[in-house]
Amino acid sequence: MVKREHLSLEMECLTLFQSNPYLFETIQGLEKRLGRRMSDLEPILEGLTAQGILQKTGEGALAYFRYKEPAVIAEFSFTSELEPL
Amino acid sequence: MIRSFDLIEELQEMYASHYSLTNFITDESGNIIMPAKGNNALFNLLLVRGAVKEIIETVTKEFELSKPFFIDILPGVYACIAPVEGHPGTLLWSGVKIEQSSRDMVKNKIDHLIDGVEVDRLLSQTSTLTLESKKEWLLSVKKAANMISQLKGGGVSLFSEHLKVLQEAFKAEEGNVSRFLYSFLEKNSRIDFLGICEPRLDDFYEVSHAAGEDAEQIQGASFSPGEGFLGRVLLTGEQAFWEGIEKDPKYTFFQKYHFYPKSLFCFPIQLRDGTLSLFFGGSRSSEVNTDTVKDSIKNMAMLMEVILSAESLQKENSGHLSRQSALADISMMLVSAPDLKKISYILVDISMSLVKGPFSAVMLKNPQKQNMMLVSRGNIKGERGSYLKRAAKDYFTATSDLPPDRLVPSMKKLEGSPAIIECPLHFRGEILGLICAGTNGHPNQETEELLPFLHTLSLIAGVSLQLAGEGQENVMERKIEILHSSIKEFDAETNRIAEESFKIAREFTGKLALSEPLIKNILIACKVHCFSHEYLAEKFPEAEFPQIVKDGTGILAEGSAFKNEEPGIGSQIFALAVSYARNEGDMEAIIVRPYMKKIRQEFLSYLEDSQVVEQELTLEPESSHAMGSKSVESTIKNHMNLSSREKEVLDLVIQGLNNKEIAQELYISEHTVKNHLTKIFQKLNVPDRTQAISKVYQLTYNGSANP
Amino acid sequence: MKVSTGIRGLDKVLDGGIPQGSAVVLEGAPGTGKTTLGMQFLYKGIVDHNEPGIFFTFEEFPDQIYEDMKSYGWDLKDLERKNMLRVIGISPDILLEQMVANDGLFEQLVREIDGKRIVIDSISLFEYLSNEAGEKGRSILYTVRNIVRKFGLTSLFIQEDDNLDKSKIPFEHFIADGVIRLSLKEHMNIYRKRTLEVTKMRGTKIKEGEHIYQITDSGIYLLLASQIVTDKYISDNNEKIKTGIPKLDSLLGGGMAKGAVYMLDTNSKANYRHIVGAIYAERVKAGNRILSLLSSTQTITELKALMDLYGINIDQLAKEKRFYFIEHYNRPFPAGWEGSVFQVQDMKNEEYDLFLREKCTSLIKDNHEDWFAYYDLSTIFNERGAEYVLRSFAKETAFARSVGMTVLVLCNFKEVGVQAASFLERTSNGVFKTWVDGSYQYMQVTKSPDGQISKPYLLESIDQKPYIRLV
Repeated sequence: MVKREHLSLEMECLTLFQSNPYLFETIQGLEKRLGRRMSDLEPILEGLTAQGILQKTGEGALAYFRYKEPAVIAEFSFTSELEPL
Repeated sequence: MIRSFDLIEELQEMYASHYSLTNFITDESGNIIMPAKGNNALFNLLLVRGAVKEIIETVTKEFELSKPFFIDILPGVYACIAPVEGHPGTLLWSGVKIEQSSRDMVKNKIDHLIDGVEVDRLLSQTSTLTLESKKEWLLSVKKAANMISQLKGGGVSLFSEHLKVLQEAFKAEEGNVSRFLYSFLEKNSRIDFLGICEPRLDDFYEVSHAAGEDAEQIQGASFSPGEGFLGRVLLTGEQAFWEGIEKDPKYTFFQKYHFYPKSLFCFPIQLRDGTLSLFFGGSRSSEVNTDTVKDSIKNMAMLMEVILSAESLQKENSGHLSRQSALADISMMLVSAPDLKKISYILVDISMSLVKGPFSAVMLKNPQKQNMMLVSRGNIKGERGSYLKRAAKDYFTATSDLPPDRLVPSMKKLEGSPAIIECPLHFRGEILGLICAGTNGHPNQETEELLPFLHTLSLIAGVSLQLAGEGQENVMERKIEILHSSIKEFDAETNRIAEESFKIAREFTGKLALSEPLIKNILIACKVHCFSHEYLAEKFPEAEFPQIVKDGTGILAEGSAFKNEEPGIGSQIFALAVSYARNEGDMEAIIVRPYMKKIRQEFLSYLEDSQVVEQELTLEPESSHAMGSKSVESTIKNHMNLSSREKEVLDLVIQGLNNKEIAQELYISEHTVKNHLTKIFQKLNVPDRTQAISKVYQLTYNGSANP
Repeated sequence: MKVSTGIRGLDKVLDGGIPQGSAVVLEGAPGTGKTTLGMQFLYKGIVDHNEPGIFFTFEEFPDQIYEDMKSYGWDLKDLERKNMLRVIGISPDILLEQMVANDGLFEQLVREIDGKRIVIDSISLFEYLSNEAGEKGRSILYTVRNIVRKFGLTSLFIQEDDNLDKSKIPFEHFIADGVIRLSLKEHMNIYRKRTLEVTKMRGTKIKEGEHIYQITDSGIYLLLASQIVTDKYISDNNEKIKTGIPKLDSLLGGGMAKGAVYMLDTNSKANYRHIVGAIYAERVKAGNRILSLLSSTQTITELKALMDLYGINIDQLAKEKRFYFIEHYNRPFPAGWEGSVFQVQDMKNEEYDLFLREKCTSLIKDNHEDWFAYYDLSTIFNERGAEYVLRSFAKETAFARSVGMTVLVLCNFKEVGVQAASFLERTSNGVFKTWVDGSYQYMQVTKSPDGQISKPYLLESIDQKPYIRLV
């Protein structure tokens, strides 16, 4: 579990990707854009990826992250089946 | 931007047919963006022959318009042009009319310019521009342009204004409240001071924040419950608006601080711990009495409530500094989120990332329909899915208001599986949605610590959802308002029917046990009754009122039969209301249909009752919180077993004077005032001043309090 | 096939637009509006031509761009929801890798929305890269160009202007199909002038020259250089009217255009009395009726003395109702002038407006003769406020044009501020400027309806009429 001190940075990453759903960025690129250390960013990005919030493509230095939209059921009733659209 | 081209077209057509003028709309580059509507033969001919093109170009390029004006298309042939506010460069053109004195000249010119036209006939069809008609024309074009501006989404809505304030407020981590007050002031020119009162330890209240010119005079001013205008709201617990307050004895409170408002409003704000704060404000120059201003104030009060609650929660949470800045970021994002979906994305991601469990789901109630939107991360199939349905049902279908302890996030312990955090999203006690976030195990300190954070989040989410929901509803309501006002503009009789049927339907449905959405749909149907249901269904595909108009019109139409199933109650009420209005309130003439016996009877008896009530009401004006002290006075005079001096003292207490002021007013000592008060309390069987005032109010407004 | 750029003026410069499938370099210094132009190209492509587009930004966050472009009324997020637009935040190296990769992100994005146009902001950052094949910087650009061509995309490559060696043609210009250059220049030491020049475009003819553009509320607006040269509306009307100052007439191609509005921009030191006097005298001689707005410094006595100098009997003209005055200062006037002097000092702005529209209109329309008006705008600024001028001036000039009245407007651009000055300059058909530098006074025509712009001339006093001449 990520330490609580990292919460702020975690939220920063989260808000960043949320408001920029078409941001495709490497850890290195994020380091530049956010002005944060790569070593701090890495566990957070991996964590968000593990939770399915971000999607990671590729390996190594050229691996990039992007936002992954959550599942949406637009008209869900108390009886409907839970098959996301 | 709302794309309401169809509505604009509708408006153009109405305008055209009403005034026998052709009209069209051009954009900032002089392109015709809404093609010409109307049968003004001369203008149409000129348009077709390209005689107007150059003028459009010139006007677009050279003129910077802020007002409607006339232009001669040919010498003596006039069009009227109005700028569409909020859309720079967009112009509404309407034309043409001819100056009487220029008719011959125009005839020659057209003869010369265009071959093969029956000029005489053309000109005889074109109306004459007279001095009197000029003004009317300008006015009508201006009105039409205003409506178009609204349809195009011009002007700034209250909704987006308040979002901006909220965003600004969350930018600052400290001093939110004052910032907030100042940004409110900036955005509301009709209000020039605002403030907050908070309780002190000694049961007195104090003006803790004051914003506006000279308002610092009352900063720190203290008063007891019941004292002055503000103290009165503490007792009644109800919002109040006052106007022309200088003559009111309660005014001394402000005079004492050399502050002289002309109008005043005050809202009580209840915080989570049960304490009451006050949000007040007003104007030193004008009466705050228009409905728009009141609406705006109500919105402010609602936002203030959220700000104060969030602030008090943040104080509790101040140990977790890192969370505070995170919270500010999230709040910013929530309030700038444009729609419900986006808000739910933010909430599901944040809850997922905070709790770090196997799943998270956000469910938002859809007030229009009996379902909801579900946004989720992680696996929500199987057992979890059934749980979500149960939880949603539990929260969303509660028939009465949920108790306060159910409105805060809690840990749900489930048999045999890890605990789940349930965090309801609500606004003013109304449930709007629910976050369910699965945890990885049993509740522990770490997850418990998240609850206050989630609580603050849910408060801000609640207001964001409310605002976003209003924003969406506003789109429809605005379109309806436009349709409605276009009727008003072009057809007085239809408008009368719309207004009267709306009025009677509103009163009547208020007496029936109908759902809010249904009532709303009936009322909308009344407003737009003259439009065909096909048209309405096309323009408002999601809405239910077109069906009411359809069935209701069917009911009204002679001879149409509903064979298989009778029309819905909404359509029946609609039909009754419209029929009532069409027949100008003649009860005999209200339609009779076999399947409507019951509701018709109810309607008739409502009408009878309401006529009686109206008569009664004229004798005794309806009570309101802004009501003067007259009827309170009469309550004191007539109902209380008090001496005349005691009555005088009690009257002044009610008016908000403190002991010292009462003493001055009655030329007696403060000690005597206290003696009188003691006796009054005894006679009224109350322990203190507060209860005494409250008792008088109960007697006045409810007519029932045990003496 | 030409692709419209979304900027009308630019389309005209490009004879219809950019040839489809071209890769065009858009270069300029910071603040010239490259990103705005790039986004306008995509936005208008979507809204007007139903052509989806992708914007790649290496340095900005997409949400910043959404926010910035809102000020032009462009709702980019809405277009993204409709799958017509993508604003992609990405690093240059990732983009490059994903462009080259088989079924890479680039291809997916183009396919997903059926993209027809792209903008890359900015290719300057490619310079620092090297790819797997060991290609460095500029040759990467070559690869990028080939890939976008392969997809048939019409592309704008934004290039930061490094302002280095201007004598050498940059490499980018060779491999691109076209080059559009934005610049920001000082203009007459008063305002900055933005210009756009197309220096290269394969497959279309271009209108050469530096065209002025402005960044308006609705994006970039380009004024063709040729549009400035002839003001069609006015110059169709070929009648010229003399100013009484021979050299000035020749600078103006024969005189002022009838029905045009000229601004005399003067600084406080410059003496413009004789310029105005000469023009008045000439107009009276030509039989014009005159409408004159008196300033606080120009009294009737003073004007009378000035006109006497030119042999004009103003007293008689006023009595004959050939010379009218608008007076803001309630000063006495000679007997017999009643009806020729309009006292407007007590009129509120709306009333004054109405006065111009109704009283003056009927006056001018009732006398089917040629009119000349002298309008001291400084007085209007002082008496009615800048807001009034900005609101009503365009209308007033349009009115003057419509009745064929030639107008000379006196104003001090320095005093009224850059914004107002630029507005007034735009609104007038011609501008004369006179100023004092050292012990000399100069005069220059800086704008005229038929595009003539003169060099500065010295203004010399002479002993006989018209008492001044340009040297």
